[in-house]
Amino acid sequence: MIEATALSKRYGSRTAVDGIDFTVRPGIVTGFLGPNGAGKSTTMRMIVGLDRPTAGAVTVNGKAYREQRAPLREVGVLLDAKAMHTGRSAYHHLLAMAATHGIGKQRVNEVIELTGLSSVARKRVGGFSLGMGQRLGIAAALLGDPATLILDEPVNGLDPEGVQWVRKLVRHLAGEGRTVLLSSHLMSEMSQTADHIIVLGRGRVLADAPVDEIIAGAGGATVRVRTPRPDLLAAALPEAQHSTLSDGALSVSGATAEQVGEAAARSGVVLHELTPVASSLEEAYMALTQDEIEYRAGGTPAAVEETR
Amino acid sequence: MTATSATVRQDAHLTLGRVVRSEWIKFTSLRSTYWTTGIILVLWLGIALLFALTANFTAVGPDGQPIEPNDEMRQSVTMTAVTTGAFFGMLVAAIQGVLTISGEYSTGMIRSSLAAVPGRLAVLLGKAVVVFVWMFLLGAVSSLGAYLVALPFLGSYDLAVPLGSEELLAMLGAAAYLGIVGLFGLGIGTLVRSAAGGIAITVAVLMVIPMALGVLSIWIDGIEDIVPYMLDSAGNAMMTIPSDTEAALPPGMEAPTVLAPPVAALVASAWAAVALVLGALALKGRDA
Repeated sequence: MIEATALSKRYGSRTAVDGIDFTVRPGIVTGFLGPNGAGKSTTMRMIVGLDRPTAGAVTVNGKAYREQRAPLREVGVLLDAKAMHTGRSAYHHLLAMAATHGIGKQRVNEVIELTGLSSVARKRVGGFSLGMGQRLGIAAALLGDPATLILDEPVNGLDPEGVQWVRKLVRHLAGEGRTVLLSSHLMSEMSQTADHIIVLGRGRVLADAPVDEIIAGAGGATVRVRTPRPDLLAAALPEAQHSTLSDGALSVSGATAEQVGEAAARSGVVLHELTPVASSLEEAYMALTQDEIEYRAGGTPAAVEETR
Repeated sequence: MTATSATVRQDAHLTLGRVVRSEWIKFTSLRSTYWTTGIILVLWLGIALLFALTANFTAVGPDGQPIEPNDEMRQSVTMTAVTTGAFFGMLVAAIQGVLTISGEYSTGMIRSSLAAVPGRLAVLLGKAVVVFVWMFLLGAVSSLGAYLVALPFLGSYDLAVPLGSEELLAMLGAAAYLGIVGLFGLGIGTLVRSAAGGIAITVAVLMVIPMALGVLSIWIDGIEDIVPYMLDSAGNAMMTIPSDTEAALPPGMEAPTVLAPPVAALVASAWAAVALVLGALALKGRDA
């Protein structure tokens, strides 16, 4: 169980995490989803005490991470594949990490076996591919047999087989009742792995819901309608679902734009707007985060100049 | 994998002793450790050998005629052979101290280290114990080795002394100094986090500033009073056998002040302590 309350982090004038509240529960896989710069990694670093929050607090199993008696048994963390000394062998990296908690060689060999690193365990980490580094990072996270796992972009750099392996592993770990928090900027990855999704953008929580709900909310195709008589239009479309959007427009699902237009004509309702909104998971995610993307590609040269 | 692994004991937790052990594993599982160790040994013993081979030139009077060595001269020549290597060894020891922590920052390892030991100070303490013990033992082995390497040649010139308590104490001083310089490097490395910056600062303190002070003392009064308290002068004093008799100097020249070995050890330790405390404050306070 990870609980964050009003958690904030500012670097100078830049706000990386802006007063977020969330709870990550045991037994399910929770996904941190958001574009680059959304605050995912910063939040994860704050959970394990590497960065100090500017305001607010975050606890793991009711206790600040820095006060844990056995941090590696509480939380296994993969922050990035490069949190290891390139001159040391994978085996010695794990052995040194394990030694801090009195965890023995047997467990080190076990996680090496589990992550498929046996053939390269005695080789220096500097020669590892991104995928091997990622496996070693996951091995380190598993060392303490932790109740909570925090994995930042765990499938980054893995081949398709590796991606499958990570998915199975995290589902299995959550199935054992552990708390699993992983991050990704890929909606498709999340939809296949996570049970619950927390969408972050510019340091704020944009959505915090079960994955089904986020998919349902994203819906199939919807039609956006603006009319002075939404009640009459709704009556003319008995088989469609509709909801009122924050700006007063109507979001209709279960009917095409043509059907809505014809129904409006039949019942004499005036339409001010009729827009088909095509939506897929990716698009729903993009819609949620489009105002929140910090680094946008394709800026004009003038704009680029300005930011220098 | 089962719900709880049988190979992780349920009472597994952090202790300071375990963090020291972890740091020992880290220190001894990097090739750079063996490179710096080998360089220190080779330099130290090599210099002892070179000095011993040419030691007969020191037994020559101002008139160019060979002079009969006395006990004081034998002791001085023998200890010069044993401890001169320390002045090269100290630079490498300081660099090793810097690398012990800067290597973690440059590779990202520091995040793994601090996530495993979120109290952080234990990591620095663990490194300090390992660096000091390693460098102390290396200094002891090097000075004993230097003695053994030099002995046959010095003996052939009748310039050797057997190892008595004075000589052993000076060797102990050399060994302790190597450990202290390693700690100084570790503290500076923790403070600045980079190998280049850390090495620049330690070399400046150990070599450049003392040289600059030496030159400046020609023009500026009072600087010669500071010099004995510099880290390298204190280190020199730690491995020097204090002489009872005032050396005969030409009139008008003052003998340079040399601290008594225990005072020198305190001064050198203070240098290392200040560096380590600054490093500890930085490590504790900043984001990793």
